[in-house]
Amino acid sequence: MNEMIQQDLTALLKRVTGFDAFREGQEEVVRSVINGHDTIAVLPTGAGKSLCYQLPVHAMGGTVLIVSPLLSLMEDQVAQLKMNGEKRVAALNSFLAPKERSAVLANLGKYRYLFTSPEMLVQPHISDRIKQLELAYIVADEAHCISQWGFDFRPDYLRMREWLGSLGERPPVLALTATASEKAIQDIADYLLMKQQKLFIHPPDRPNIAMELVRQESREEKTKWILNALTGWKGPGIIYVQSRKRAEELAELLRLRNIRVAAFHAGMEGEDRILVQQQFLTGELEWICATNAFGMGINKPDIRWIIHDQLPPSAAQYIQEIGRAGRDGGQSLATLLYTETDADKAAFIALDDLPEPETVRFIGKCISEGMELKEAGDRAGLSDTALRVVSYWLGRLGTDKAAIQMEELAAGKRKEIFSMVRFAEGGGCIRSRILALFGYAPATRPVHCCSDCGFVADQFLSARTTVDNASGLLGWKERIDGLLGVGE
Amino acid sequence: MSFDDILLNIISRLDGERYKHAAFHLMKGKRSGQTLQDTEYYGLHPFFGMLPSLHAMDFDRAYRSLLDSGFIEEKEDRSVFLTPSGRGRASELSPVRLNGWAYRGMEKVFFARLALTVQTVSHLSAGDKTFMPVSADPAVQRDVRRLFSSVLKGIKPKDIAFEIRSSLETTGMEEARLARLVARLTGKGMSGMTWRQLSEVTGMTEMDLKVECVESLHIWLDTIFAHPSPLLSELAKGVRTSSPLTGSAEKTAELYRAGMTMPEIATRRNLRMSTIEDHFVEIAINDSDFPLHHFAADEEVKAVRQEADRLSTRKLSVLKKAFPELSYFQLRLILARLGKEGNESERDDSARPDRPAQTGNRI
Ligand SMILES: [Zn+2]
Repeated sequence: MNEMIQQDLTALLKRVTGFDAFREGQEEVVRSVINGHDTIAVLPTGAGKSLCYQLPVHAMGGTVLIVSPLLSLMEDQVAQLKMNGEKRVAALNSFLAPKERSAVLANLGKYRYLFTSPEMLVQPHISDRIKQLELAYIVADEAHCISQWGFDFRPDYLRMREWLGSLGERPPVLALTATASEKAIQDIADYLLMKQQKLFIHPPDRPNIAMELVRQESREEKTKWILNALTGWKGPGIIYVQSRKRAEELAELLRLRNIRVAAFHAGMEGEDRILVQQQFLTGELEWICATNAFGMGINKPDIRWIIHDQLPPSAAQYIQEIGRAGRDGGQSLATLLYTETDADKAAFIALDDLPEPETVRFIGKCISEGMELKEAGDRAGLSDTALRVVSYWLGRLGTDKAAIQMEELAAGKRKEIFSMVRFAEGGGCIRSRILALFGYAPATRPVHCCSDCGFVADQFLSARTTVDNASGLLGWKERIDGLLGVGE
Repeated sequence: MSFDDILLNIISRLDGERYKHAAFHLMKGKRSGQTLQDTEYYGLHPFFGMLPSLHAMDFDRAYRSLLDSGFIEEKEDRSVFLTPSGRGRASELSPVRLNGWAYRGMEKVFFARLALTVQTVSHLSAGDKTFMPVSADPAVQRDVRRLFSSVLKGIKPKDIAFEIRSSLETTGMEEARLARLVARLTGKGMSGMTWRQLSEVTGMTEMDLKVECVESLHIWLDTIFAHPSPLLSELAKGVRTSSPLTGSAEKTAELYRAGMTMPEIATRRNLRMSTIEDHFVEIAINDSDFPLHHFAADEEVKAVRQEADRLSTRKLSVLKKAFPELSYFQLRLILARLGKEGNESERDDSARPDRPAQTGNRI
């Protein structure tokens, strides 16, 4: 069988996608899945991850179940497949109206690609239906979310473990991610109940992204630095900030300097968020000031610059966010602005919604005395998210161990932040040091490596020479004609 | 009309009879017996459900600004009334052209379908099949997809532009206002503007822009229903409320007509009794055949009506004091039918929504 596959894989690729050859890293993963192995693939963003889960089913038949963390990402992938002419694809998520959901459920067996969220998957009536399917394999997309979000944010990610365990004889599981530390890979294997999994890792190094570290004394200094840099150099780029307020504030200051910029955060209306993404994709906007709500599912190849206004709480998140630059292969830049107080802020935000061990004990006691979970949560003043987390761990570990688990989670987060602080405060090649946090070393040193090894920004960033003037509103008739491509 | 002026307009109709929350629930389109009753009695239909996702903070800001400008004041019991200068201001307002009762936020669906249609035509006619849809709502996407295999099949972009332009011209809205409305539309290389961006260009607040957009869409939809055209009528399908009852109240009404009692309906539907009571008030407001005599004796109904007239009030708390033997539910039903059967003269003229109600603050 193995050899047949060896020969046929390229033919299969050609037949399904029209491509003549695999890109680096894809073929091994596809073969591993077809051979029925549990597989973890760590491929850098832009390396063609989706092909890894899209291709094997064409050799195997049946349905692929893809568990995806974000609705927007799911919708994107469904749209992408449909655009490529695939009709047997559906997404089962909370976005569907009840009527649409039953339509999808009624036709489950028909689909080649079935996308869903962890939350949806563990609902009994949906889970039962999916278990009846002939599943070719199960895909966990953006699998680092298991480790990044599962423990303290979306425990249903962890419930996938029980769900997989209940399958009995289960098909192979493929976990895909762009970045994963050793710990994350362990979590993935553990929580997806993998057996003798094959591991394919491509280091998260992106040689075409120069890395810059700038230490500042205060937030005001950071602001000054950003205003100065952006009036001198052009994007397109993203400034990652920590709060909605900061996103608005920076966007406004830049706008006053005639830079085409907009804020982006979860507090905005859905339509406005789409419009901002659209304007960024078309180049109508040059910069986005965003909270981490922006990015996943955005596919803009020519982003030249990612600036972090704050220390990200983990190396994985940092690598993911800067990985959105330079997908076209062009030379790009990632700048991290750091002040000493960043660590406290990062810790405050990362730990803010994590329940305290005492709270877990309190809720455990309330429940043992017969109180409803919801009421106990209200008494403890927990958010819905936090309550879901507590309920998951209480059910799995019991009160005492769940409380200890909370302590361990908090300690784990503090450790990640601390290693980021050491990274930001330390000396030596920045690229080598961030890669070391994942257990790698750069294969080669690029010409524009980092601010420690040296790089020459004016060799690849474009200087801002002209000023954009804000235009007024177009007449309504002209706009309608223009939109529809009609007229003079 | 600005958001502040809309709020002033609403308060002018509720003058002295209600707290500020009444106006908030009204604009959000709350389906409670109280709000529906207010809507009916004070002729507030244009405003009902005009802003389903209105934020309390935005509402409070406008309310505060009316207080600060001296247009409104609160009594000791916190009910709100117009000052003489508020009255002056209210009388100068141009007529409201909102039609909240008919659309209840569904104008958004119309606009989402329109925006996706325009975007799709724009990209397809430029030979571009890959774009990010401006509406992520699968229902909207499906509606529009269906149009491309029906009414839009074989139609030229030129004809679509012509249809949209002609219809907008028929609305009689001013040029600048239409420019603000279509600025939210997206096409190839021409993205729509966010509220923030529109606010920066026009100098209007985001809130005023949103309110104006809702009203513009109501005006446009009214025009489309009066002068149907191939594409726009399709896009407007189903956005106008056909039954005055909510789906849930309709079910309760069916069971009641089938002979079930209120407790039986509550058990069968697994709903709380208070919810069923709200449904009955909603039914009473809308059903001219509502058998009020099943719920209160004719003499009681008459007495309550006389007292309400004499005190010129709709306040449950006041009437409850006068009729301690009647339940709140009975009083609400009687009030719901009030103005439906006789004493029409007391009511605001809902055919002339621009005229503020004349119910005074004579408590
Ligand atoms: Zn270096």
